[in-house]
Amino acid sequence: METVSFDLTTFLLEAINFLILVWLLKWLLYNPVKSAIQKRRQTIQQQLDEAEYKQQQANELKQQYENRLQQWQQEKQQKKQALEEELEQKRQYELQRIEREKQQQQQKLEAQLQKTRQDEQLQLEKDASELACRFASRLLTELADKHLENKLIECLLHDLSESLDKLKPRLDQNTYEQTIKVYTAYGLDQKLRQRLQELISHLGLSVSQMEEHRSSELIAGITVQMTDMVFQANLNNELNYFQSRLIHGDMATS
Amino acid sequence: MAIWQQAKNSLQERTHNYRFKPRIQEKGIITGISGGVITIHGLFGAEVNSLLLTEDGTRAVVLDLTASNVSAILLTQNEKLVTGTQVYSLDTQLSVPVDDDLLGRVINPLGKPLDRQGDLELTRYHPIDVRSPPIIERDYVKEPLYSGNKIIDTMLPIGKGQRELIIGDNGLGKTSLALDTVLNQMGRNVRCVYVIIGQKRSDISNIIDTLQQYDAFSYTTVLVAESTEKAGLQYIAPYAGCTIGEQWMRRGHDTLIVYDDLTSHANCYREMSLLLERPPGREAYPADIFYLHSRLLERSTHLKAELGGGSLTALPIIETKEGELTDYIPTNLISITDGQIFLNEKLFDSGFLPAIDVTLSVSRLGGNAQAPAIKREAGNMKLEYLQFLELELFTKLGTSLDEKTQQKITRGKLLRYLLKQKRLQPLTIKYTYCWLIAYNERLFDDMSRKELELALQRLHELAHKTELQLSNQRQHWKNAIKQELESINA
Repeated sequence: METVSFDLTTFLLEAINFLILVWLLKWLLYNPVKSAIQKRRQTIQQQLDEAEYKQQQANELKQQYENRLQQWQQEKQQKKQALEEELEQKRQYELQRIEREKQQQQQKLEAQLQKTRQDEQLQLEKDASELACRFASRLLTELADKHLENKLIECLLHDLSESLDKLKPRLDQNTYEQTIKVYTAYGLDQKLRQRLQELISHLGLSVSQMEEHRSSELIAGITVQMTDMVFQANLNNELNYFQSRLIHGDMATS
Repeated sequence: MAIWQQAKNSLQERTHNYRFKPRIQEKGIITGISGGVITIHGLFGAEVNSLLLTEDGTRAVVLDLTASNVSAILLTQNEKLVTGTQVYSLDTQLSVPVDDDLLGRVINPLGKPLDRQGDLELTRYHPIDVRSPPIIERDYVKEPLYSGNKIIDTMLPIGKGQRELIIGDNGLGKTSLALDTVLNQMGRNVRCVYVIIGQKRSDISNIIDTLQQYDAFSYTTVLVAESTEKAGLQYIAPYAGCTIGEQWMRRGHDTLIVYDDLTSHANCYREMSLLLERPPGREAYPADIFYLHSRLLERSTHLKAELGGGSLTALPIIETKEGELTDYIPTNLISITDGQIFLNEKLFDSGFLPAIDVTLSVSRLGGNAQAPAIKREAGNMKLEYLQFLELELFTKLGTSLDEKTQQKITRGKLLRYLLKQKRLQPLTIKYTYCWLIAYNERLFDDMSRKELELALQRLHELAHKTELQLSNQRQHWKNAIKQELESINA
């Protein structure tokens, strides 16, 4: 067997070689690799930092959006409430308006109904009055006679004699019409004629200008035309007067 | 209580105090007859406006009372009326019939039919000269009365119960405007009374023919006092028409009355007053010429709901001479009424029909009697149009204008074209709303004349077929209009 001899020089040279190798490795391999690793580490760190930053930003945005969303929700709620209130107000306003219009329509209808009832009532009254007057006219035309006429004439004479003082100044003496016209249906009795002539004299008028005429239109009774006045006491005139007062009596107030 | 029971009670009350007694009646003698006016000696108890009857059946109305004489105007006349004829007072005021049977008929102021369609069975009569409704009975004018005319319905709106004067020279379309308004009331539940005073027979015939042609007689009564009629009938004609309209109003109906025209009425009253020897005032009119028309027009109003809610809208017509608004009668009527529609001769000659001069026309009620939708759309239209008219003057001076002004002028010209309308073609309010929206949305701005005509035709058809109402949202209308007009541009 050969013994291994230790050579110091070789050892030293080997050591130096090793050191040179290590130095070369350090310079050519270790440092670049180290710097590469360092760079890579830095890059990774940078990326990590960026990622963290972005994460942070994202978190902030998320928070922001969540806040905004919350705000919107609140706003939406408020606006919804406001809209509901406005709608409710409008609804109330419209309901009140419709209620008012309904009341007005009701009032209108009631007023129209009342007016129609009034018109119908007036019409009923008018028809009834016309019928009544027509009936009365026919009946009186059948029953009228000299006796009735005399009663009517006496009525007129009585009335005139009672109001002589009022009538005298009232009669217009200056009227063109000076003739006194007397109309009767059956003719004047002598007695009644005398009384009438006395009355005319008391009124200051001339009896000689008195004319007598017959008129069956009167049915029964008398008409005396003196100056500007006409004195009527006959059935025809009375029926017409009665009818006009019944039918047209309240025309001015309808 | 039943109606018959009430009638019975009423009759019993009236007959309860009846007693026979001789009656005294006054008698007068005719001492003078002149131009439809009779002078009577006697009848010292006669009242003004009371009815008189002569021996031969002639009727007259008392107009004047003096110490020794009574003057009355003749309403009818027998050829044999002579001085010395006896006259009696009927103790009643002059009344006219106010029945619903008057609808569709042509009558004279006394209610006598003139259309040869048979006699009328008239039961209701009312005095013609009554006081106007007191303030407490009146309500605000708030419902619109559509005339069918674009300018009036947008810029000069009329309400039910308003008095709107139509004023202009002869031959400018006053009667046409009034007729358009009457024709537009078809199907709107508005009764119409057309009072014709002092017109020629040919004109009266044209009016009646027009109303017949357009089926307006179903809701219209025509009351005629032509120029050859007695002055007395011409004088009472507007009051008779007003009484008919007023009674319908009191029964809850909306009524429109046209007085065509009040210039003839004023002239007739002047003639009568001069014959009655009343002292003449300005332009020989009597001192109470204002009262003649004010008491007539004050009877037009809108009643409260408790009184039936009816209304009487008046359209009096007045003729001017050479566009002079400051004459006596026109100024009177302008001060009485709630606005005027002035027809301008220059506009008429330039072909702008109807020749309504917006600068001098006004409706004092304004938007109060306008549908909210129309009011919204037409809000500033009158102002814009007036501004355009002023700006247009500058174009005639040849001055150069900035773009904004030029735009206003272009828009104004478009509006002027849109406001023209043919005679006897009243337009529905829906159509008015359509074109207003289209104008405000500037849908017409880039259209040629031909396209514009077509567009308006389409809008007309849309207005007829759509189920949308004015109360619907504007957006729905806008969409419908845009859809209708799209095909023109495409």
